[in-house]
Amino acid sequence: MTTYTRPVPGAAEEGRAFHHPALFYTTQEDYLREVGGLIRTEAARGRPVLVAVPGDRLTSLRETLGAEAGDCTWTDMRQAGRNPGRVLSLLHEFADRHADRFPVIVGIAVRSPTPSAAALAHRTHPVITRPGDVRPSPGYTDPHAVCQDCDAPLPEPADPLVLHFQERDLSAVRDTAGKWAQDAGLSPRRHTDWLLAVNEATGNSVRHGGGHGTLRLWRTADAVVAEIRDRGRLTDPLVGRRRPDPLSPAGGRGVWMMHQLCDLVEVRTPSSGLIVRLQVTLA
Amino acid sequence: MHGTPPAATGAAAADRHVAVEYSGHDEWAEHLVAFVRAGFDRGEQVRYFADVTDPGLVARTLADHGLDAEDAGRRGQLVVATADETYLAGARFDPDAMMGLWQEAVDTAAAQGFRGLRAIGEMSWGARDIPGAERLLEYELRIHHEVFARLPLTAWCFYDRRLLPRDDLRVLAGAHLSRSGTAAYDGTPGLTVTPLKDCPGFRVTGSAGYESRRVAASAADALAASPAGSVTLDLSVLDHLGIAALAGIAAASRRRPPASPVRLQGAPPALHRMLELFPELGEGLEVAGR
Repeated sequence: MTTYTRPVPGAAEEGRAFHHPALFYTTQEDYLREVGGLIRTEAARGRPVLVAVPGDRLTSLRETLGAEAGDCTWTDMRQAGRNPGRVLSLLHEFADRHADRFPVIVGIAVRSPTPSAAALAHRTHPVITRPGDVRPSPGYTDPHAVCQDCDAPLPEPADPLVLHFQERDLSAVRDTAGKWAQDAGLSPRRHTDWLLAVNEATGNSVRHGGGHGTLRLWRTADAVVAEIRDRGRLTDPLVGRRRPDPLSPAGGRGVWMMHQLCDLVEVRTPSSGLIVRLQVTLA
Repeated sequence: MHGTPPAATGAAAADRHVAVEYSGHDEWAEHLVAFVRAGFDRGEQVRYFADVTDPGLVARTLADHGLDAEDAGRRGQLVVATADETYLAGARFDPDAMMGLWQEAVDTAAAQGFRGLRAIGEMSWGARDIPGAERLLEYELRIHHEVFARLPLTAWCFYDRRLLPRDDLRVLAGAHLSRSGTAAYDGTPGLTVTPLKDCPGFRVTGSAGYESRRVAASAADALAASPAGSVTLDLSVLDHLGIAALAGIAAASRRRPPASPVRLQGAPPALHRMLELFPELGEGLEVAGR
């Protein structure tokens, strides 16, 4: 996939458009020609370019483009994309930082996709490009509908620790979750991340989720998991995907922080309310 | 502005602002009589600001315990009034105005020939729906450095346990460096903020999450309002600090005059982590060891 923003040709400066095509390719040469060509063209026009692709492709593109890449920002998506919930925020931050210069973001292209991967790419991209070919995606679907389709039940843990809480219990729940994670073997730094994330999620239950909630804690082979259930409703399926103003009196920092602090954040919206699962790896 | 208090007061500022807890007439009378007797003995003026107590009962109780309240009242050494007709007479309780009122009261006592001023204030109004009552904790926090460190004043804040919610009482009494009377707490964890003894600032104890947002907000207001050149926030015994509390501290530091930073001591790992996520919150903060 190649995601970029650029102005409509011939439009006034403020008439920029958002383009979000998927690139299907089969050979490394195709990839370097198509993606490299885009980077070369936009860099030559003085556009800020963020290249967010897996490390091996990053290396190939840098070697191929050399000085023609200008002052591209290079990001290894094997690292930056470990938690998918952080990716949109990363892209937003770059776009916001260079909003006055029509930033271009180059993402992951799809090489010889499987049928299911191709179908997903068609659903999530309005335009499909192949070397020498650009056409609308017949399978493109409203993003909210795609989000709803992803809202499938999560697997049940075997034997979680269950804590019910309301406002007066928040401090004690944090203490319990902290000691439990310490016993599970979280490193001091990740323990800090864990507690900050659990604090935000449980606080959100009290503040936005009906005044009380349930915290379940369990351990997988390589991670600790906290699940917070409450009676909240999620009005924006993309909440927490844009970096908030930390000084906003309205708050709005919690979900974004959870994505930054955890290795995986899963959100589900069953009829009973809201489920947030926070996962932090033990390594 | 925050130097040694005038010699007439004797005791250190930390010992002259005392939270007194009681839950019955006898306890109340015992504290009252001891306080007034000491004031009379030292030639100080004594003011009693009643909230729920009949002002006449104050004089009668003193008389019952052998103190000549009537004569002291005639000479102006004992003044019994209600909070409603004095510092709650305005549209709302205003901590900033209170700082000035204490200066005036101390000046008046000195002008009348007394060697100092001591006062009792019944604080049960803080639990009622009085405009500005939500600023009572901010006031209790600020008064140590803004009043007691500067003025020859001794004040006992009377907290009737029967009239204040237990959590509120714990927090308000905790804002005093000296306490008297039997405290009755259930051990529920919470956030407590206490003035630092030797320099302008506060020590925060407990857990600063959503559940303690009002206490954290009062502490932030006290930080913002402190007239000191720099103000210290000691976080070394804090169990937890959430982003809302840190944002409140950061916002408070931005409300302070230029070059008068908030100094954070003993910052927990969570604070450093949150500053990694939101570096802009560090503006105006001096974080020790960072």
